[in-house]
Amino acid sequence: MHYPYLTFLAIFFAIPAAILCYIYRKEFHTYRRTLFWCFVAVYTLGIFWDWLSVHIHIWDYHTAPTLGVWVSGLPVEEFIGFNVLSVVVIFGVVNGVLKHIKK
Amino acid sequence: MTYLGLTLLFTVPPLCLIWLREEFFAVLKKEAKRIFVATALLTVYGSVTWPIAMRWGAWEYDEAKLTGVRLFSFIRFEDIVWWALVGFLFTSFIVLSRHYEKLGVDIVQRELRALGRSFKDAFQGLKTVTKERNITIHATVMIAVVIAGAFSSLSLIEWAIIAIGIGLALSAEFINFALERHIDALVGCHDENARKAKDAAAAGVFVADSIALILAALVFVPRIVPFIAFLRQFE
Repeated sequence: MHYPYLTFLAIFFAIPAAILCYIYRKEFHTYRRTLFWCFVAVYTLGIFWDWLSVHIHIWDYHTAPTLGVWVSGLPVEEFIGFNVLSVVVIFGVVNGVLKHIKK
Repeated sequence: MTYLGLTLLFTVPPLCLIWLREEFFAVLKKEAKRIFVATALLTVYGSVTWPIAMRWGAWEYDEAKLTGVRLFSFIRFEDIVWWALVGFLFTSFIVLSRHYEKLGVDIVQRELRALGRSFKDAFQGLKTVTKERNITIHATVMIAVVIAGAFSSLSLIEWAIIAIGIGLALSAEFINFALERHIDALVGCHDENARKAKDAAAAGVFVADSIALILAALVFVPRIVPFIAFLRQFE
């Protein structure tokens, strides 16, 4: 498979992220500050955690072909793809639960 | 450090920051059921999809950093814990932040500003106390100890001992200063109980200083004794 990580992100994160973003677009707009702080957390603590995990060999991204762009020792699929899409998916799921599940 | 250890290190402290605060706990408690449902959904989704990424070769783990425990022989225990804790952390934060955002408050900004104010007050406090006689004496002794340490080739452990001694003595003096001023502001100098309270605080400083002196002696006396023996050769 060419670019397995990108393919994985496209199927399991990009499509759900797009669907959730569309369905809960009102919540994404209303609580954009909360969404902003989620991205801040991912791009500070999250990136450091990911970098550290690669640095101490807990996981490794060199096992399969990537797009070839690396940022802070992480492939761009992880640096931008997973970090952005996972936040969108998590935000969408939480907003969905808060909207449809009673207290 | 293992995968599990690093996951706990990066998720448990922020969770404590959110859940141990009484104000935040009151908000989150009301949404406990929905937080649980969202966390469960994210855990299941993440735990099931990540093995697919692994099978396609998106990334690889070092088996030495894993427990080797798997659910249904393909879902790693660490991945489940990762999604459960990260899901729980983000869900808790999103629920909390949404609650405050609805009230027109940016909770992260509010907390950062309060933290900034605490640091500002602490530095103001340092400026205030450094003008006091007892503090200047302590600071002088501290500087002398640091200079002596710098020219004595202290090990890391010895520097740690010195730092503990200095911290202990200075902290006790700062607290004594605060207590004295507070008592004077409330009741003045002529109250018997106030005098006893001040004496007890001063005794606390004496104990802290004595411990600091013992720690310094433990570090420096073994160095001074051979030096004195060396000097005696020339008598």
